[in-house]
Amino acid sequence: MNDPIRLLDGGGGASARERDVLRAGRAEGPSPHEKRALWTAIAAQSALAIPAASAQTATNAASAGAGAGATSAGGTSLGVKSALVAIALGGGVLATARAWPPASPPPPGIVVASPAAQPAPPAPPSATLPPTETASAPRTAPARPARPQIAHDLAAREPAPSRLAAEGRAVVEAKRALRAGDAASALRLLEAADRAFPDGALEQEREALAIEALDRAGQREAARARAQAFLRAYPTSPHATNVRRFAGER
Amino acid sequence: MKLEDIYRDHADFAWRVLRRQGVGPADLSDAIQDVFLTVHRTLASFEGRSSFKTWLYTICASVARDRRQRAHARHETARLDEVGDPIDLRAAADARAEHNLRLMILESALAEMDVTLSDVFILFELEELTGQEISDALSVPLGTVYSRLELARESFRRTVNRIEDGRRAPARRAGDRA
Repeated sequence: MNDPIRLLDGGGGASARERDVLRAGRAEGPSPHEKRALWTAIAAQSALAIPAASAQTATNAASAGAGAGATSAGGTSLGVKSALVAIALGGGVLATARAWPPASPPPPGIVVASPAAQPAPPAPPSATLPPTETASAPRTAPARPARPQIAHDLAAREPAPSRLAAEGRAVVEAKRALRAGDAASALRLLEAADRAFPDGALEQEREALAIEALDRAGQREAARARAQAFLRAYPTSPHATNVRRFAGER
Repeated sequence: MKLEDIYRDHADFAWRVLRRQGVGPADLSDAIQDVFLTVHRTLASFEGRSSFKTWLYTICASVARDRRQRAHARHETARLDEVGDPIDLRAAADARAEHNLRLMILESALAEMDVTLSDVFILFELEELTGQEISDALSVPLGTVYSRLELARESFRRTVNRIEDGRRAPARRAGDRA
């Protein structure tokens, strides 16, 4: 049996829009800067690991298979890993590495507060920043010592295409969490997106997704009520078919 | 094989596999390191019974599972500021918006498939594994890989067309005035 021709190689009669969607998926990956920083951290740890790990340990890990090996790698030197990446990034930040520092000063209305510049106490939350967000900030602080904190009211002042991109990204993350079986994370992401983008262009997508996440999280009644409200508000939505599954309509 | 060469050739692949298996942005850096340190420690056990990509995929899948479980145990809260990248987005906002919308459509399409279908679809159409490699990675017969791919493609096409049609003629709120 021969493999079929891939859709992006002209197989399956894929339309231009289908190919565009697939191309976007293939283009994902770390930025060159992230990639280099991660390699620096990996190289440092692998150099440490060779003499430290006895031949016996290596053999055990190998014979235990990839699964066990992965677990033991995950369990070691978390702090080292984070610190190494932070050093390799040179005060930059994984997510913002490509454009940080910005070539031009941020336009008015954009609030960027660097924790590195203001170590303590934490900057007071802006009026629109929900308290839960600041409360959870120090949780993984060592991993991102110099991460610029961008106030959420930024979203409301960004130019429209950029807001749409950020909103789209939030929806993608929520979908991924849901697909990975993590409905609780999906719901939290969607709630955060609701606050950041109250009149977002992807309101339907977010609400349809929230309904599904509620259902998966076991909150059937809430899912049903919101599904019925969704169908009243958007009877002809492309998501209506899916939402109907949760509305309790027979 | 040198670890550096392996990393150079496969870091993007590992990154995408981890992301699509639900490793969040906050965990990604650690997860990638886990993957390549595991490769480093267990490379000697790779016997070429499967392709290298297949082997790497199983390591990524294992690390992702491990990460998800630990994130769950920490009762981790998702944070929107770990999701967006507004500074970067300003650089080419239109292009990024378009890109993210396409990713969103892709995620919608994948989410609507059974996970057994989306795994095959991702590995074949996006990661360009061969049917045999997918058969090895997922431990299913080659014929099953092909039949799942067929179903996944149909589902993908349906979702993409439905969403794109909906976007071109956006549904109006029932209460909106004309």
